[in-house]
Amino acid sequence: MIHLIPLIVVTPLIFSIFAFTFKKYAKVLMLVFTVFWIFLSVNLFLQVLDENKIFYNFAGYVPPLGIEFVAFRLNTLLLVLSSFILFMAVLYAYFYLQKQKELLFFSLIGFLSSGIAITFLSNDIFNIYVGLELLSLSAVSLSALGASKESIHAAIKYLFASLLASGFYLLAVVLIYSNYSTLSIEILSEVIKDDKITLLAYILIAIALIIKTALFPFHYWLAKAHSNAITPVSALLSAIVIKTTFYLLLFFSYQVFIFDYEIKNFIGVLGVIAIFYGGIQAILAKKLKLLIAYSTISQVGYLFVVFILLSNQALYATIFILISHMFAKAGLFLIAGVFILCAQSKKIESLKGISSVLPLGVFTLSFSAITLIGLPPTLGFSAKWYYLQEALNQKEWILFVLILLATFITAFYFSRLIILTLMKKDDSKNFIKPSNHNLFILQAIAFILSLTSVIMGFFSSNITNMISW
Amino acid sequence: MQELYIVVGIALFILGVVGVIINKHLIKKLISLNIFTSGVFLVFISLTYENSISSSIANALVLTGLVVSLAAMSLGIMLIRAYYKDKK
Repeated sequence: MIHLIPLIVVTPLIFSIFAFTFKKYAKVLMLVFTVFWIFLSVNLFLQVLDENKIFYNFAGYVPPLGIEFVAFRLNTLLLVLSSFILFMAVLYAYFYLQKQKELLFFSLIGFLSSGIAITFLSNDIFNIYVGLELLSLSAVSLSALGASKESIHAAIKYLFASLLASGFYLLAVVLIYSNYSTLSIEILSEVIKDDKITLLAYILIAIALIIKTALFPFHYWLAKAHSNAITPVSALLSAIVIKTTFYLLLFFSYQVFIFDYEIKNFIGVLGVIAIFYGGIQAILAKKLKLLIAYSTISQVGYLFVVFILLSNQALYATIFILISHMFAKAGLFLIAGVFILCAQSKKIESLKGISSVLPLGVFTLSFSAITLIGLPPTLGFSAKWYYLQEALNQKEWILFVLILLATFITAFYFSRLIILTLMKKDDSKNFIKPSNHNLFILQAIAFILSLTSVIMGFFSSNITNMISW
Repeated sequence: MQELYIVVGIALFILGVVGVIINKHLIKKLISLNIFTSGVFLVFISLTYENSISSSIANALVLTGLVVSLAAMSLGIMLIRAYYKDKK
C-alpha cells in the first residue's frame, strides 16, 4: 500500500513552486493539481474506510521524536469536501480572473491547500502550529490580492489578528511541552491531567483558535477581509479556512482536553451572541458581500453552540452545520461575484430584478439560503433538529428559544434578498449581457455548489457514520 | 536565574499584546508582535533549559518558530508598504 498522506501534504507545495516559476502555465497547472488532489484525498478516504485509522511518521521516526500524521474518518471526510470546494473555486477563478496581478491566486492556492492538509491530518501540536501559520499566511496574501486600498487594509488587520493568535497557540504548546515533555497528541491524550497549567494551556489554545475562527468579540477582521477580497478568495476563506481552525478546537475539546471546564460553556455563550450579532449586522448591511460575510459570523456562532451542550448529538449537529455551511457559503460568495459583475455595483439595491438575466443565479441564492436557514430536507435542518433535541434533553430552555429565534433572523435577511432579485427591474437600470464575462459558466459553478449543499441533506445518516475520532 | 528569564519572557509577552492593542501605527504594531513572539521563545528556552534532551528539542522548535515569524514579518512589511504606496 502506498502512503498517501505525505503525497497529500507535499504535492501542493511542488505544484505551487512550479506555478510561481512558470507563471504562463499557472492557471492550467493549478487546475490539474486540484483534480489530482481530489483523486489523492478520495483514495485516502477509501483506505480509511477499510482500516479506520492510518498513521504515518515522516522519515520513519516514531513519536515522541518524529512528526506523526493520522487519518481517520472525520478529518479525511472534511479533507475530501475541502478538496472538492477548492477545485470548484479554482475552476471559477480560471474563468473569472482577468488581471495579470490577480494570477498570483493560482500559485498561492497550493500553499493554502498544504496548510489545510497539515491542520486536518497532523497529530502533533507543534506541527499544527506550523500548519496554522502556513494556512493563515497564504490566506492573508490571498485576501490582499484585490490590491485596492480596502483589501490591503483588511489583509493587514487579518495578518495582525492571526499572528496574535499564533503567538497564543505557541505559548500553549510551550506550557504543554514543559509540563508533559511530549508534542504528540496521541501520547498527550493518555497522560493529560486536570491541573491548572493544563487549564491555562486550554484557555490559550481556545483564544488562539477563536480569533482565527472569528467568533464574536474577535470577529472584527472577518467582515472586511472576506468582503473586500476577490470573489473566489472570499469563497475559500469563508468555506474552508475558518472551518479548519474550528475543527481543531473541536478536536482538542473532545479528544485531548476532555475535562469539564467552565470556559467551554462560556465559549458556547459567545457563540449564541455571535448568532444574533452577525444576523443583525447582516440585516443592516448595504453591500452584498458584506451581508454574506456577516452571515458567516452568525453561522460561526451556530458552530460554537456545541460547547454548551458537549454531547454526541451536539457533535453531529455542529459537523452538519460545518459541512452544509462549506458548500452553501462557497456557492453564495461565488454567485455574489457573478451578480456584482452583472449589475456593475456592489450595492444590494442594484440587484433588483436580476432574475430576468440570471435566473439560475437566483436558484443558487435560494438553495444556499434554505440550507443556511435550515429548512428540511437540508443538513442545516437536521443540525438544528439535533441542537433543539439536545437543548430539551439538557433542559437549556433559553438556548432552545434562542436557536428558534435566530432561524427567523436568518430567514428574514435571505428572503428579503431573494424577493429583491425577483422584483421587476427599474427601466433606467441596465444589466450587462451574461455572455460577456463567461457569466453562464460562473453561475453554473456556483449552482453546483449550492445544489450539493441541499443534496447533502439526503445523506445525513451516512455522514453520522463518519463522525468518529 | 531560570525564574528571571521566565519572568522577562512573560513581561515581553504582555508588553507585546498591549502594544498591538493600543498602538495605532502599523509598523509599531508589527514590532509589538515581534516582541510578543520573542517573549514566547524566551519562555520556551528557559523552561526547558535544565533538561538536556528536552532543551535540544526546544531549540529545534524555537528555530522553526523563528523562521515562521520571519516569514510573517516580511509579509507584514510588504503589506504595509503596499498600503502606504497606495495612499499616496
